[in-house]
Amino acid sequence: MTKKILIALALGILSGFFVMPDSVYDNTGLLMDIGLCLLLFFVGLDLGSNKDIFKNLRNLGFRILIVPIGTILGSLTGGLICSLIFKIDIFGALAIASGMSWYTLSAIIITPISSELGTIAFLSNVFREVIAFVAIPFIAKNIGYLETIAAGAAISMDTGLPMITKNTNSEVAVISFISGVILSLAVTVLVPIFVGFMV
Amino acid sequence: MALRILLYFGILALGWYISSKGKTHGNLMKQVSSIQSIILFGLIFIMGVRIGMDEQILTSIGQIGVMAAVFALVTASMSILFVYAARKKIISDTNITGGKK
Repeated sequence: MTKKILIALALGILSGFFVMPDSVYDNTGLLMDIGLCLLLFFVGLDLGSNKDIFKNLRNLGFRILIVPIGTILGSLTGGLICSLIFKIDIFGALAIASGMSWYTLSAIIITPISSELGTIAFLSNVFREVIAFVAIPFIAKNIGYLETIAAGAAISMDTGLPMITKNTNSEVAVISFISGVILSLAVTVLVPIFVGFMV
Repeated sequence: MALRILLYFGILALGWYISSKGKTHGNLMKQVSSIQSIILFGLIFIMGVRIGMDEQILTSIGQIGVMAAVFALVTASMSILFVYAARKKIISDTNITGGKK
């Protein structure tokens, strides 16, 4: 699976760079939205065919919140580590880490304060999305199902959801959607807070 | 963003409703996995096209690519580590954890 993903991604990047005319770019957003909606519909079909999902999730209750909470705390710890590695402003690093794969929003909020950190935020969150896509099959097989949600963070409710569903099961797909919504909301709160503390 | 979340939730719920009421054709349900794979790879391809055509990404990779890659790897790894540590203590249902204890 990972190999096929890498091949599809590499073919896309190469054709985007060498083959596609500029006019194609404007339509890719619409194509992605249509593809994503189709995928989510099929994920819904999958969920509906499993009668025990909600009974199983009810047993877990609030314990499923460990996924978004663990993901947020892990990302912020990662930001602190990176601020030490690269010797950059601690709140800037936390703002970048709080993007949690939502590259457009984090970059837009950070760029007016620091264009360099805004670009890092943009690129690092693009990379995190790509890393998640490539690593999810490996993580599901070798580490655990819930950890697949932590890898992509905010994309767990949209672009990452089909990939997570394909490599885990219906219960984890529902946890993924709920976690993705919570994480996306967290991005909108955390990034502006840390940007406010940046010097 | 709220509209987008509602849209995604609505589409998921529509699929769930149709399937749970048994209104899907048996052959379609057998093909769901294959259809998902085809659309998924198409989506990843388009994501690649967007990256390949995005000048902001391409020009900044040379300048700060390594720093951004380290940020992505460290934040993703720490998130995985935190969730792993928490679920080891809190969740024992192997159906949810993927057979891992």
